[in-house]
Amino acid sequence: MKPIDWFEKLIRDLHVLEINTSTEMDKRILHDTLKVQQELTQTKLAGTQPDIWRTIMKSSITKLAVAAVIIAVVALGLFEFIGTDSTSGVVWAEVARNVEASPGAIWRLRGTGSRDPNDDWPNAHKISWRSPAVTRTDQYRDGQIYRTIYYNLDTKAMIWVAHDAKKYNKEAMSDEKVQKARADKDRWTGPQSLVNCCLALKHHALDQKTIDGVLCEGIETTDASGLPFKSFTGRLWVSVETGYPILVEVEAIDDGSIRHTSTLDQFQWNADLSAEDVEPEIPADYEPL
Amino acid sequence: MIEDKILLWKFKHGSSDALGRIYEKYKSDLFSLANSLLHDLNAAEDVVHDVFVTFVKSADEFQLTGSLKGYLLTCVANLSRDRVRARKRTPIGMTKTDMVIPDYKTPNQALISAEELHCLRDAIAKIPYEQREVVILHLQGRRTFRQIAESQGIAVSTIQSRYRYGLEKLRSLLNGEVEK
Repeated sequence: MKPIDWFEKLIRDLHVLEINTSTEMDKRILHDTLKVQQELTQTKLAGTQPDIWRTIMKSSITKLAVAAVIIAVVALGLFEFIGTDSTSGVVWAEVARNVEASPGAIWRLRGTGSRDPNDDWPNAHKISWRSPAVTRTDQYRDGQIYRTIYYNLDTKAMIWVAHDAKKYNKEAMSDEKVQKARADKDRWTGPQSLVNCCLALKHHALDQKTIDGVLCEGIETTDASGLPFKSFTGRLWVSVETGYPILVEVEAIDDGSIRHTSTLDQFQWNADLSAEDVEPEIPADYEPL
Repeated sequence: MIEDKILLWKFKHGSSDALGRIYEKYKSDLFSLANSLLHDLNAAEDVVHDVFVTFVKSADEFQLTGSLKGYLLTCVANLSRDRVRARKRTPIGMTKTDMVIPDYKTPNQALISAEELHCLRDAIAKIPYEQREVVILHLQGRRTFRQIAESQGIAVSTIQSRYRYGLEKLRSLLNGEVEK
């Protein structure tokens, strides 16, 4: 009779029960699994799209983009709440009011992070339009647009365009998604969140500097509390002349000790973003998904 | 493992590539475990399939406290147990056993004859499920008795007993069958 340890060795060391999967099985499982992942991603996008920073691009810089927005609103809210005004030009309380009152805004986002096939750095950027009801993001790679995602909360319409594949999809947003999107939007940009965030972060003023020919004043925070990073540094630069943000820079280390950076610039505040102007036009040779 | 942490991090950010790599990395372990427990290739595929689908669906809430492999193995074991309970421990006869032995072998399996392998697999399928589960998880899945106990919410001593009885049963079933 074989000793017990013979069976242990057979199973443990010789892996006699181990079997390989078949190619067909792999295809079946991966197909279904990736499909579910894609559907969930699209659902998530639909639900949170209006906060374009957070979820729109399924990339590793998403967290950082969120942080960048938080930095912007927190910094603005911070000064509004505390009433700390610069003695040299920028009135921060007015900056906060300016941003909050802006009916629409356009900006560019660039980011770096760990290399992930879903990331597009360093050769990509994203341009976003945002108003209370309409949000659109165009994703560019090597100067060429390859994705457009558009939401209109008033008409409950969602349009997704894959320029590289000449495909598009139009669908209606459910009331639930619209409601969730509005709630999500309020969560990040409402006055209440400004106050809440401003209480959480510490900051200090930066020396004036000129950015793209514009004299700016800035603040910097290194307070990572409440944010999904082990550490980060965020800087907000505001035009002394106009009182609107010019540049937001964030550098963060995530829980995997991976360094990320995010830069938001080319801001256009007080943009008149009518839905007709922002809604993407579908070229005639594009096919529906 | 840092590689798993990075894969998980990417996966949680929606990376299909990371999901594919996680699957490729652990598919053999998971499929082998499921097949060893269920002794049915189709059922094993269903279990691995469902584990990965659930894994994807829970990505947002997923918090890994141990190893990714251990987590997935535990998921496969739990789901396999549910499947067995669902089919009310239908006895598996030789016909069923013959049907499910896979054609594709790993190199290590060449070290024993096809007949020995067949007998071993058949014998394992005949061990009471609770004992088989512990034997397979411990020896094949490299899970410690404590980890198995924690995942099942039972005492370590119970797991150890099941393991011991399982191996004794295996030995008694194979007595003379795999010896030359």
